[in-house]
Amino acid sequence: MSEPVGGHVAPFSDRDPITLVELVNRVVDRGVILGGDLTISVADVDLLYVGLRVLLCSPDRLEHATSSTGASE
Amino acid sequence: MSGFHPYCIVTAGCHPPQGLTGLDGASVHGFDVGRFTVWVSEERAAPPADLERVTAHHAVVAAAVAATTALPVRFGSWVPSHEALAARIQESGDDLEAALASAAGRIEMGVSVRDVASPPEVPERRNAPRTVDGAYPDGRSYLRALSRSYSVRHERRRQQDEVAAEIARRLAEVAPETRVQYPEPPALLSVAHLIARGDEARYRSLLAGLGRTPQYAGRLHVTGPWPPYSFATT
Repeated sequence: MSEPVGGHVAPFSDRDPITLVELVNRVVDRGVILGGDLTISVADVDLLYVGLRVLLCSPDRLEHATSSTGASE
Repeated sequence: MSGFHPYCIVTAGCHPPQGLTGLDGASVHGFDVGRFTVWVSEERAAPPADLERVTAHHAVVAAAVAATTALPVRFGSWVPSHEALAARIQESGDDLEAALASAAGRIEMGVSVRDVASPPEVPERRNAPRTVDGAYPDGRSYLRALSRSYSVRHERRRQQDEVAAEIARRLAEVAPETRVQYPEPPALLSVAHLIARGDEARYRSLLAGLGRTPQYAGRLHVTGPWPPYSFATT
């Protein structure tokens, strides 16, 4: 019924950085919320455009990083 | 007892293909709840977010969208039991059905706009002197610095709103539904659009036209098509 839209499921090395950031932000920051235990929703910190940081640091460091850079606008 | 990592929500009866795997190679199966089927895999606890798992999650969502209309579930929505999952689905049933209807036959596209090289221009003020330890010597200096900080943020938001309006104007004919995000530098703006499947080429063409203008040359980056992540916000 539908055409494939998974055109960005290529291996990591095949992706450009901007698309990768867009991918991460979509997967971790958007979509239907079903559980109350969001792994990366830390202390209500807004995760806009910190996707790559999410992948690189622990939740407590993430909270510090976002507050220090003003990511939660 | 194991819990579940949900990937996406589809109309009842649309089950994942045999052999589809998700996070950590776990088998993905469909869990029927009333009008919907939720694609899930078993996970003993909420999985940590890393690039491999985020990519695996997206791959399952993309597989679902390749087969039917699907609403992506946000990564990290781990649920401890079938009962908990069913309860959550049932309490949002009407909203989910409306979202599925809205996403049918449409794809998400995105455009991100890079910041200009220099920070927003604001009227220059006298530099607020500071003491050696970084403190402001008096209240006036502090307020002056605070005012400048507000001016920079205000100017940045003004630029973002201006760019968002220009993009909306350019894409009005193909992308009436938008979600605007205000990222941190070096990105200035990120806008997601829900468009008809057949409009992707037109969408890209309209943005290419904008990208050829002096103001936006080299600053636009179009991504997609995506599953409707930005429009599945129930």
